Formats: sequence, C-alpha cells, structure tokens
Amino acid sequence: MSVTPAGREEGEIQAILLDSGLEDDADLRRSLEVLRGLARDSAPQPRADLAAMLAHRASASGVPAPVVPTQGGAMRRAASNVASLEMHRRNRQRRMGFVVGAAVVGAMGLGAGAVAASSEDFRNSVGHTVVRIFQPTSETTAPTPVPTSPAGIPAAPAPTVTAPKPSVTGTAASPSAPVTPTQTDPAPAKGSSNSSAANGSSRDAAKSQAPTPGRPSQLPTVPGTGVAPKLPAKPLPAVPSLPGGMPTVPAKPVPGTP
Amino acid sequence: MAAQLTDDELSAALSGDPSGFSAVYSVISPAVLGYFRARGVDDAEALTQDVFVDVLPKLSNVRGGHTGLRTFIFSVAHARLVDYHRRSARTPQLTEFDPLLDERRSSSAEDEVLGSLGGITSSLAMLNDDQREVLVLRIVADLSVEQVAGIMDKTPGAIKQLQRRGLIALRELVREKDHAAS
Repeated sequence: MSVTPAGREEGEIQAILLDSGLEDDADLRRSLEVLRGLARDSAPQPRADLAAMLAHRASASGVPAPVVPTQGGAMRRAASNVASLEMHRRNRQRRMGFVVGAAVVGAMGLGAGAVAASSEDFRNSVGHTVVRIFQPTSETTAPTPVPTSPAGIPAAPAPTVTAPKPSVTGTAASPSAPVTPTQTDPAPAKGSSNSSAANGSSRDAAKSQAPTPGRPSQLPTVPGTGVAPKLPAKPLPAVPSLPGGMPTVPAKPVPGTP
Repeated sequence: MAAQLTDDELSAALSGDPSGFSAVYSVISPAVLGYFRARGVDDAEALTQDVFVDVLPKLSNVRGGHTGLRTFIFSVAHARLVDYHRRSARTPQLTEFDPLLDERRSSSAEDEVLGSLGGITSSLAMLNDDQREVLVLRIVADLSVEQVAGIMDKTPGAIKQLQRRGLIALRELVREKDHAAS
C-alpha cells in the first residue's frame, strides 16, 4: 500500500521535531507516529452519489471505470440503484398526490360529520337554513304586511277625517261599527286634546260631538300607551282639517251664546 | 502514507478528465478520513465523502500539481470541519450514556481499535484549537508549513510557532499520561 518508503515518514516526523527543537524526545515521536497512522486507513467505501459521480464520469469519458480496488461491485450496484430510484420517485410523487387528496377529503368529511352529530343546535340551524332556502317567496311576502302596519298608523289621519262624520252624524250608529273605533280612536282623543288646547268654544263643540263619553274614556288609554308618541306629531296637520270641517258645527254654539 | 498519484493520473484529474478521479479518491481520501478522525468528527467517513463530492467536479480549476491538489482538497476539508463544528455547536446536547446501567459487558474489536487510537486523539483534544489543527494538517494530512499557512490563512512564521507550542504541550500531556500509567 505504501509506495513511499517508510524512511521518508520517519524523516518527515523527524523534520517536524527538528523545526521545534524537540528531536530527541522519543515519547513524543511515538505519539506522532500513532497520529500519522490515522492516515494509513483504506479509502472509505463511496456512498451512492459519490460512486455514481465516479462511475458516470469514468463512463462518460469512454474509459472503463478505474475503480477503487475493494469496492468495485458495490459502486456499480450503487450506480444502478441511483438510476432506478429516479423512476420510483416519479411514480411515488404521482401516487402521493392522490393519497394526499383522498386523505384531505376524508378528513374533512369526518370532521363535518362529527360536528353535525355532536351538536343539536347545528342540526336545528341546518334545518332552518334549508327551510329558508326552499321557501323564499312565502317568507318575503309575510314580512311585508308588518311594515305596512306601522305605515298605516301615519295613514290613520285619513280615517280620522272620515271618522268624525260617523261620530257626528251617527251617534246611535256607534255600536254598529265595532271595527271603525280602532281607526277612530286617535281622532277623538286628538280632537279633544287639541280642541282643549286651542279654544274653549271648540271644547263645547267637542262635548257636543261626543255624545258617547264612555267610549272616549276607554279609547285614550289604548293609544296613549301604544301609539301616542308617534301620532301627535303627524296627526297635528290633520287637526286643521277638523276645524275646517267643524265650522259646520259652530252653528250650534252660536245659538248657545246669545 | 497512501500511494502517490502517478503523473498521468494527476494530469488527467487536473485537466478535468474523469479517468483520474478514482485515483485521486483512492489516494487522498485516507488522509482526509484520518484528518477528520484526528479532529474528533463522529461520522468522519460521511464528511470525507462530502469533501470529495464537492471537490471532484472542480478539479479542472486546480493549479500547482501534486502540492496544489493536496492543498485544495484539504482546504475544502478544513472548511467542512469548521462547518461541522458550527453545526454541532448548534445541535442539542446528547444525553450521556451511563455504562453502569448497561448489562452488556463484552468488549468489541472496534473498542479495542479505537482504544489504541484514543490515547493520542484525547491528548490532541486538550490542545488549543489552532495548535491541534496545525499538528493534524502537518502530520496526518502531510502538508508543508506553507500549505498549512495557506489553508489556515496565517503566515508561515505563525504556523511554525503554533506547531512548536503544540508539540511542547503534547509532550507534556504524553509525559503526564506515562506517569499516570506507571
């Protein structure tokens, strides 16, 4: 193995010791010879990539591979393994795509199923959403009456104008209209309050207009609780319409005053 | 020391002709392996092969014949060793193995071989890092003072000083061991 003569190594170690002035130390020289023995090992067996590099480069040049004497077969086997691994790796990548996709879909399905099975609220909410999706028209028509009813309350002044007419004209007809009193409810209450605030002559007219005092006593309580805050703002313009309609009534107080 | 490269193999390798690569590997890799073992690398063979995987494609750029080739390969090995020490400093500490808890008592052939080498490597481990590197490059890698100075980026005078101090410290360690043994 050693082409260089052993005397050369001795000479090199001796030269190193001479450099440092320690040439006559036998123990140190023995230690250095042991240290140099570390470099006398055989070449390590090349692993796959290094063997492939050596074999490929040797074959590329057209010269038969000058192989390290001890590991020739292993190098050739390693080179063939490297080439075959490439094919396996491509197939494995393709397969891994399918496997990962199937695993993701399966895991998501399992998770959603577990959530649905565990919580009852989730089931109810899903039922509600399904009902909403399949009944869009009935749900949209149903809410529309609800907004119209608040809008109908401002529209109440229109019935108030018509309301005094039955109240004035038909005093005896008051029991005949059980539905209209709900619409006329604001009208007498406003008519009485506004008229009391406006003038005393109209108060007399109101008294004369209200031949059934029992009904107004019931009515102000209902609008006062529910609709009172909204109504006084808008029906106020409707009040002038009442005096506008009223001048027909003052014909009665005129005979009263003289 | 391993066989020397012939001039034909050397010229083939340095001209980028791949026919010389196996000869370069078989001749110089034992010295690189010994260099890593002397420096206490745990997987010296893997690091040696890393060096040659790195070196072989670049041989066409090497100038200077036998000396230039050897200097180039060991400068790469030196850089790899520095990387190894940095990497091992960052890796977590391994838990110490307690031999008292181990029932397996049979001695192995590897232990005996490593025990014969353990004396000098353990003594080397107690030296200064630069002194140890100079001694290993001079003796194991068989490089001259000028080559070691080029690899370690120091002047030849500094290398000679480090070598002298390292040898004196090593002599003291060897004497202490001999006294302890006797």
